[in-house]
Amino acid sequence: MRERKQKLSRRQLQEERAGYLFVIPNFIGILIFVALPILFSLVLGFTKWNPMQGLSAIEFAGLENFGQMISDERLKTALVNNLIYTIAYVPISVSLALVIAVLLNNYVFCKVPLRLMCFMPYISAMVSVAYVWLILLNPEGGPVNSVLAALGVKSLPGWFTKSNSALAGIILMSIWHDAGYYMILFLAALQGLSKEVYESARVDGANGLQSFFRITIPLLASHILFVSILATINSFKVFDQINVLTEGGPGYATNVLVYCIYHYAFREHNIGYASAVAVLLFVIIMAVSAVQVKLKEKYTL
Amino acid sequence: MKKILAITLTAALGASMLSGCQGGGATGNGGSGETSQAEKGSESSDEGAKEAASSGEKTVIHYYDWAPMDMTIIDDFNASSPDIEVKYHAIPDNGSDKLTQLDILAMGGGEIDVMPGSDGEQMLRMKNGMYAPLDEFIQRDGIDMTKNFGDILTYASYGGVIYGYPLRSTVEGIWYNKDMFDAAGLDYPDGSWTWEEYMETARKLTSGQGDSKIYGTYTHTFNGQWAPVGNEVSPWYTEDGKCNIMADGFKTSLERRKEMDDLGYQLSFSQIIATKASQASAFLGGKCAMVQAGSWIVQNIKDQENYPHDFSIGVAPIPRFDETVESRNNFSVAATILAIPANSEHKEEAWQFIRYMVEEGAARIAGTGNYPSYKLAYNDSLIQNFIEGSGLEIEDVRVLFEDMAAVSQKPTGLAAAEYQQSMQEQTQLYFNGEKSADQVLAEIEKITNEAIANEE
Repeated sequence: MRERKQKLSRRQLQEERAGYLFVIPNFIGILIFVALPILFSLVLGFTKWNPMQGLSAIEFAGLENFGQMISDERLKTALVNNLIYTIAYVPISVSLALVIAVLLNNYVFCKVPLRLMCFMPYISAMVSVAYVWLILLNPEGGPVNSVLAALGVKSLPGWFTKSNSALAGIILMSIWHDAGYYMILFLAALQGLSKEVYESARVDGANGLQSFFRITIPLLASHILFVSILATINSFKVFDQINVLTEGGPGYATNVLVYCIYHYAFREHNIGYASAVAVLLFVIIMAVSAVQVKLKEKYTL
Repeated sequence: MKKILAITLTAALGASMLSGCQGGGATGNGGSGETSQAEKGSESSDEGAKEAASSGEKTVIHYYDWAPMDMTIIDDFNASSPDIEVKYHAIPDNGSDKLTQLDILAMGGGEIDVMPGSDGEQMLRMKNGMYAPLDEFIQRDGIDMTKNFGDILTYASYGGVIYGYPLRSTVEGIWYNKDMFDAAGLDYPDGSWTWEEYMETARKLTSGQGDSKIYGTYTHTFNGQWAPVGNEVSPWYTEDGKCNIMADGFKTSLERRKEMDDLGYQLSFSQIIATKASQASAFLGGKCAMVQAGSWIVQNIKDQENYPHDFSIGVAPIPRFDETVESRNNFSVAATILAIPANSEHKEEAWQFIRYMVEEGAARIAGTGNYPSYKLAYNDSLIQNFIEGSGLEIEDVRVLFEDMAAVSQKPTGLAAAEYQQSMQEQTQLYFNGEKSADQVLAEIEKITNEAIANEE
């Protein structure tokens, strides 16, 4: 290493310095607006703070906030809801995106308009999408329930008005909204696969399904894991649609972690506790991502 | 040469970034929501500042609000006060986010000296010490709060300390479509009607099926809609200061709201959630013959462009719980106060402006379609201002101002925030049929009493 450094000419050294200078402004920006707030909220998680009384009102509280979590009904429900959300949202949206991507990569006639259509939801604002879904999922006379009724379903779901279906409605909407984005990521990856492999498989008599499971999936494994990590992180960040559609209700039925943080911080002004929940969220995402990265290392070619 | 270029570029980049941040900061400090009205205000105040420059600097105080504003109140105050300059900043009226915006301003020690706190949400902020106590000013100025504001005073204090000076009230009654009453051959209601009569009226006014159905009445999803009739007979707190939601008045009121839903006399709770219906659009769109709504609906009635309608409208008190309740003009009330953030550096000046705004401004506040809280200003000309351009008749609206008996829309005592929040969240589960009335009321009681215990 040292040897290499000695070999750098004066000019190269100057360029290196210029490179650092280019990076510094952004680095400072990230430090001030991203890294410091993260650190600050980490510290706040161990305090009691009524922000109305200024910074001097911060009191160190040790693990009290975390102890309080154990008996917090809202938070418990939010955790369970978030897990349900993740378990449903990640596999469904990722596999749906993969299937659509493969279909649109190969077989379909008007590829470009169809790709655009699939991507459209993702670039629409979540708030307006939420209102459209509110109409679609209206339990009385909404299009979805009308179709279900026509198909002979007896007990129609109440969607956003009932505890047992509100979260399902949110999940459905989020999948519809995000799958197009994951699809684009897969499409990009599919373009990079060599045609020869598929051709030789066809010569050997493999049908479409076989080449999908035996070739496409193994070759895309690292991409699938990458998209899954992305989807998992997104699933823990869900907030907009809940704030617009249900405000966490009915009861606590659609409370999730980020909504809880918002509730504690801005509805109850309990910044210390909200930060503690944020720390919890951070730990969960870290843990899940770490597992996924390990998997990625293990299973990718 | 290349090096110089690189350094220059870097410096330029850095500078542009820093200035970018500064720009953002300035917007955050209040430039964001200023309307043309507000600009007009600050322009004229700039002129005022120039005039005053010769006789020393004026103290600038910053006032934020989201309601329609009559800028002449602020201009006149600035013109008449030798050493105070009020700058008005309009913020968008978007649900509870507007309060969050103010919270962040006040927490961050931003330039804010006068702020509104609305409809029960101020109780939490009083508890948390966001506002400066006003008792000293009130005593010094010898103000008789009861005479000035009457029954809405519960919204101005917390734990015995006064934190706010009431600016405008929400006075809720039953607004009705006179044309529909006439067509059905019904008499217009007055303060003597009981719940039974109200329900019977709603039944008679309900007609049609499917999309063309017209409901007899409309009750929104806010907890302040079903509870006040119960509050006529049951207080919010027990004598020893605990949550009283299990009392008969509230339980009956809760069940009655659901009964009206189930009988189809009004749009059901779930349908309001599922369609994001609103009181103004349902009533002014002719979808219901009556609506329980606050005095704010006058703003919508005036707004023919967004709420076109061609029928005449009257207003009646909320019904009596039953025959045992004295026959008087009950309206359910909540109030928006003006408060001074605890960390304001110009409390004295802010207080002077608040008094001017509330007292001298009352008639002009009425002109914006808001109901001014300051009782001493009530007279026919103020009421005329209030309904100007709405098509309402002064004889019908006078009842809102004169002989109005206040029933509190929401709990305002200890743990008011938790009380209100749990009412909102838990009762959904009763209205959508998942839990029984007793279950949800018990849950509200549990949550509120825990919070009360924490505060004590």
